[in-house]
Amino acid sequence: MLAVTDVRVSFGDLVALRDVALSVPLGSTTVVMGPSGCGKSTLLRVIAGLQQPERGHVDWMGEPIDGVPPHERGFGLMFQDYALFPHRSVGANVGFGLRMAKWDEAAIRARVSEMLELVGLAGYTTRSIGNLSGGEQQRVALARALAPSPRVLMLDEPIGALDRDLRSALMREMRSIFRGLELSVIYVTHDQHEAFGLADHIAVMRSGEILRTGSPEHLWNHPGSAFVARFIGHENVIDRKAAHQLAAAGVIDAPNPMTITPEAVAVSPAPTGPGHVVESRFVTGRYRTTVRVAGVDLLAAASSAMPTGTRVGVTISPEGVTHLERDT
Amino acid sequence: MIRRLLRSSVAQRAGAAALIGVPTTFLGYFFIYPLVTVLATGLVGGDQSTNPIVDVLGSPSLRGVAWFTLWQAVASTALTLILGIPGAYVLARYEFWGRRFIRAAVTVPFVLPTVVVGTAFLVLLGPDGPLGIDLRRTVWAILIAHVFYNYAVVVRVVGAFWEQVDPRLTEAARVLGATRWRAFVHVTLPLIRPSVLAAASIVFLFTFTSFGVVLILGGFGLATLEVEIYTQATALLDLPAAAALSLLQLVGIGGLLLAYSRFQQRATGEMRMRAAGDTRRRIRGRADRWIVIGNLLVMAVALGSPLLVLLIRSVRAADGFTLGAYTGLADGDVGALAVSPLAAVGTSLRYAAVASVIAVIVGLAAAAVVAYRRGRTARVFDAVLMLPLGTSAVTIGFGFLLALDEPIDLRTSIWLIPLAHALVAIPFVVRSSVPVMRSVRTRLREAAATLGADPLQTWREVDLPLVGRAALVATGFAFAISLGEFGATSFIARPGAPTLPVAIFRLLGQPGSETFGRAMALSVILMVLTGGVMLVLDRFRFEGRGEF
Repeated sequence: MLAVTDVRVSFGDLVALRDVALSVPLGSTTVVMGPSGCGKSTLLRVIAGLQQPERGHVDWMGEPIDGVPPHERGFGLMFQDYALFPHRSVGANVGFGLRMAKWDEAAIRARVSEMLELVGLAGYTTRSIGNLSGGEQQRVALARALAPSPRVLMLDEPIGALDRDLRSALMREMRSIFRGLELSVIYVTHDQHEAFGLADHIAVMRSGEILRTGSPEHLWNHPGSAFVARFIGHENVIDRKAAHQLAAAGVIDAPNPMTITPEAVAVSPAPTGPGHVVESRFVTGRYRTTVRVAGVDLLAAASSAMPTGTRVGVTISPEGVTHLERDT
Repeated sequence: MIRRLLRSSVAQRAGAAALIGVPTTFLGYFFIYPLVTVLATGLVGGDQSTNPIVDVLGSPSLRGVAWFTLWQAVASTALTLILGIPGAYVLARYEFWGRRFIRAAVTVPFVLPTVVVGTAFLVLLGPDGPLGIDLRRTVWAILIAHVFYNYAVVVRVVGAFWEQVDPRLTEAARVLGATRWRAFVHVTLPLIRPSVLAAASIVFLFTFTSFGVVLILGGFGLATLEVEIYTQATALLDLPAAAALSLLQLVGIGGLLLAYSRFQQRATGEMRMRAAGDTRRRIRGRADRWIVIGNLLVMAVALGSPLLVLLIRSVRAADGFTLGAYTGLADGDVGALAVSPLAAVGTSLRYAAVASVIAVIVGLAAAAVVAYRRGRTARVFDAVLMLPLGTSAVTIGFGFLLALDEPIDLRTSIWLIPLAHALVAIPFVVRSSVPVMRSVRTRLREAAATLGADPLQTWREVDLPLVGRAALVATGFAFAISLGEFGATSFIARPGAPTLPVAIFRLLGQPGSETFGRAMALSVILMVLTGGVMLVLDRFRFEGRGEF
């Protein structure tokens, strides 16, 4: 197991990591998610040994590895911009780590072909880096990071720069590769779809702190705070202020922060109702209606469209409600 | 685990120590020590009761010399940049027939011995020259000759950097609505600024310490500090005054270099580099054609005509054209030389090979220190490394002769000349390597580290191949500089084994049109030799991609 304990990193006045603790179980994928600038890349750099923490430590199998230089850690890191060597061919890039590990030539060749095949780039060995598309570069970078069989593979927003279709295709491929090789993976992203698509465990970060960790299911059902709930994709996140407004209007019973699924928001036309329709959109086969009630916008799943401005009554069914502990 | 850790940090420290130690030792023994000896000899050895520095500062004529030295250097540098940057652009960005040859050809003037260039310009700008106007003993002759000399510095240093700058950046600016000119001013110029600064600093120091050209073309009316040092030391035999002038010159140059180094460290950012072959394009359309043709014309006229005059002189006799000057080179009975002029060719090639190897080893180590270390160590190192460039070759040669008898007597060693040449070449190796080294992205090094490369391997696998191109250019420079070096060599060349420039100089000093013709012929050979070296080097340069 890889464990990060009380790690602190700051750049001048900016605290990038504020006493962060994280444990990464082996053979599974841990996704660290958070908005840009939250310190998630710095966390990877600390684990890789590229960034020395001011305090705290990183343990591998219970032994501290803080003094071990990056090249002796055996952790792979795939960079956001790939950092492929422009002066080397695809094959030489993928085989780089193997050459550093002093594999013999024949073994390197075999392993490089195997890795390129794995990422769907069979026959690319002699190609030059400059002529690859973004998706191809991503695959080469993945193959290069995988080739030396790293004890932990870290990926820093590995598909963030690519278009959506390619992203979902690559996500599927990566998932099957990670599972197939039983890799220990730390995957950094700001995208909830990537996180839930890949993760066995998720850690949500903000401003240098880890706010919440857990399995995707647990995290979804117990987001704990309004910030985390919003960030992982809950659609009706009611913070304390909104809860007070809704409770005063009689829409909910008690003024506590919560999330409500759109399906649990029932909307019916009522000329004297407390709310009105802000907009009604047709998305993926259903109508999604936004109603404003007591100054709070709520998203409701509806079977038919409602004209903007329609006065409505709003009722919340309790099985769609998840209670939150705090706002942030 | 701990032992592995210890071993790696010991290796790392040993590597770092070698990087700093090799250039420090070399420069300490072969530069600082002789220099201090010269200054000490001058300062302490005089019999005057007053301090020579006070005398020098108090003299209006010497203050005038200092002022002239400064402004002609500024003017020369500006002129060279104005002409050279468009030339660098054309040779870096366009692919056309003969490009490699032209690239090699523009370097030839830079490596010609000052005596030969001085003589060529005396003919070209004299009353009998093709221009028909007499510019001798005017500052114009000096400025023109300085541009002729240093054009190659700008083309090589700026060009080597420019051809690796991603052209998509300029294209992005064009797409955003910038004209060609605005794209150049706002995108390209800031990107190439580190290399322009590097080139400008070299040209400035070169023209600031210009010796041969000013001595020959300026007559007695116009003198730089260099010429004045020479005059004081050899004609007036006032060693303390010469030493005081050297000291003042050194202080001035040191200050300038420190300021430049500080500025450069701030100005250099990281940039994605592209293989040179990818960034060049064919000539398309009228604008391209005019840019290329215009620049090639500038090169042909400014650089070609003095060389042509030289060539014509070498085959002209009183009664028409003849190859007699060349066939006579194998003769051993030319008065001023103990050997045949042809033997000097072999001597020079051997010295140049040794000198360039020394210069590249020491220079790359030094460049790594300057590029990778931050803070004062790097700044001081950078400035100290440039000092040999700012020190007159004559002072270096003189210092070798004075100092290198103890503790090891090197004065009769065959290593003496290659060592002096390497010393002259090292600043060039450093200057052309540092900008490229600084531009290698940190990400690539980190990627190598996470793939298991230790710091030394990272340097070998990532930095070296990317910097290698600059290093190769530097090697060529070092070789060519050694072939053409004259100032220091004239002090330390052994009578029995003159180098090419020394042989030419000795022949020039002899009366008679026959020896003058032979001097010209030998100059042409030197010109062809250095041009050939550059051409061969260009062939070996890494143009494609893949394995280095």
